Amino acid sequence: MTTSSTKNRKKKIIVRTLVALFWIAAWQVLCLFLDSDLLIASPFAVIRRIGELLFVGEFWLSVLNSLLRILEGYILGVVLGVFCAALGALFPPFSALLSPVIIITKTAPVTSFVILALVWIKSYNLAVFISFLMVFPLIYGGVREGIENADKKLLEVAKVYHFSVGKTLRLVYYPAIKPFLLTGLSTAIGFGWKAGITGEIFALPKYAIGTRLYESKIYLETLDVFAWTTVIILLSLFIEKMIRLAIKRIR
Amino acid sequence: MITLNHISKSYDEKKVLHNFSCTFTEGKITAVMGPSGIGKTTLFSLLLGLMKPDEGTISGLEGKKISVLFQEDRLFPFLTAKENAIVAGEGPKDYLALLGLKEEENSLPSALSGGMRRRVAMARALNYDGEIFLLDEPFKGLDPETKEQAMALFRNLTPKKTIIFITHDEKEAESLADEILILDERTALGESAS
Repeated sequence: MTTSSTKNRKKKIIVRTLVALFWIAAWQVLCLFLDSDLLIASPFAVIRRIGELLFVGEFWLSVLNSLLRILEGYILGVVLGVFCAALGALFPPFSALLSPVIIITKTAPVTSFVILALVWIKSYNLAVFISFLMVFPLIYGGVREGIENADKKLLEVAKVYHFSVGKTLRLVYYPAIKPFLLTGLSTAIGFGWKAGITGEIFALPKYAIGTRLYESKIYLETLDVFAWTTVIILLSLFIEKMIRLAIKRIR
Repeated sequence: MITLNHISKSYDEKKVLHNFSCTFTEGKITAVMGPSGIGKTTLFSLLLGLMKPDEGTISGLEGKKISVLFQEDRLFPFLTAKENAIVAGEGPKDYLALLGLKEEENSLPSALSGGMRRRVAMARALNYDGEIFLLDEPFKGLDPETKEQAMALFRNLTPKKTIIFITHDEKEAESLADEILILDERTALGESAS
């Protein structure tokens, strides 16, 4: 690493820390101003509560189950998104058939799907389905765009030199799809995570972050609402970071 | 013999070739000359099967391997010069070395000059070892010495191979071609050419 990039990195960390401290301070000031444990929990109380939760088995069960469910939906969305995009490129009528579904999933509010899906799907699978529903159109759209952006001139080279389908995919389509797919993978995880947790709040499976958040709200445990929300944010940042690191390796 | 019989091709009602007929002799080198926009590249795409004629037939190409050098180099940007040169097949000779690019074989196209990229694309066409070579302005951007080396390589391919190349350079056509096809408004739009 060069001296200049190390300096930039340090500067970035300092700026981020200062920004975080500013908002934590603002949060604390607001707590002092409102002076009500029912309305708002202080940042220090939230940190303390998360520390307590870390020693509770149910916390880990909820976190792991939520992660599993949402990742299941994410993987399913990625696999089916890529598959359907390829199928749509090969058979345009399939793409036309799918377009209303894509438009609906992109425009309708997540809660509409959650309420509908509650009727059809078991509570455990609801978060999987909702996460899938958010991820699928993003991946499908990205891959389709990549396919449409494939270099036509290189496709002609592949045609005149009789490349196999695999070779054409590897040399022409994959490089065209890659940037769109990687952006889609990175964006989709955040959407899938948030939507999945929303799904859990409605479906209330036994061990789930969404269920814990809902219960905290019902029993007016404001501190727990804040603690679980912080956990959701931290986990979201962590997963996104992991996905970004994986993407960086692929790039 | 490669024969184009009464070929017509239009783009948005603009006639490029109309009732055009010509023949290319097997085992010979034919230069196709003519002003820009007259239809040389259309003729090239028709011979390659990348577009279909509106009317007419093309014969003599059925089941034959065609080595191609497009007007643009069309190299795969993430493959090295060597990988690009052998992407369609590996010929009997090290064409990259014969074209003076041995030292650059591990370079990506972005690190090569225009003339070098042209030679990589040329090596790809030579490595494919087609029975017919279709070359669109093959020597564009090459310095005189390299151009002479490249011409010698193609000259040595005949009479086993048939070579058709597009050029704007009369000297190039005269020094390499056995036959010259002039494509002008008269021939492109109906009068016979050979």
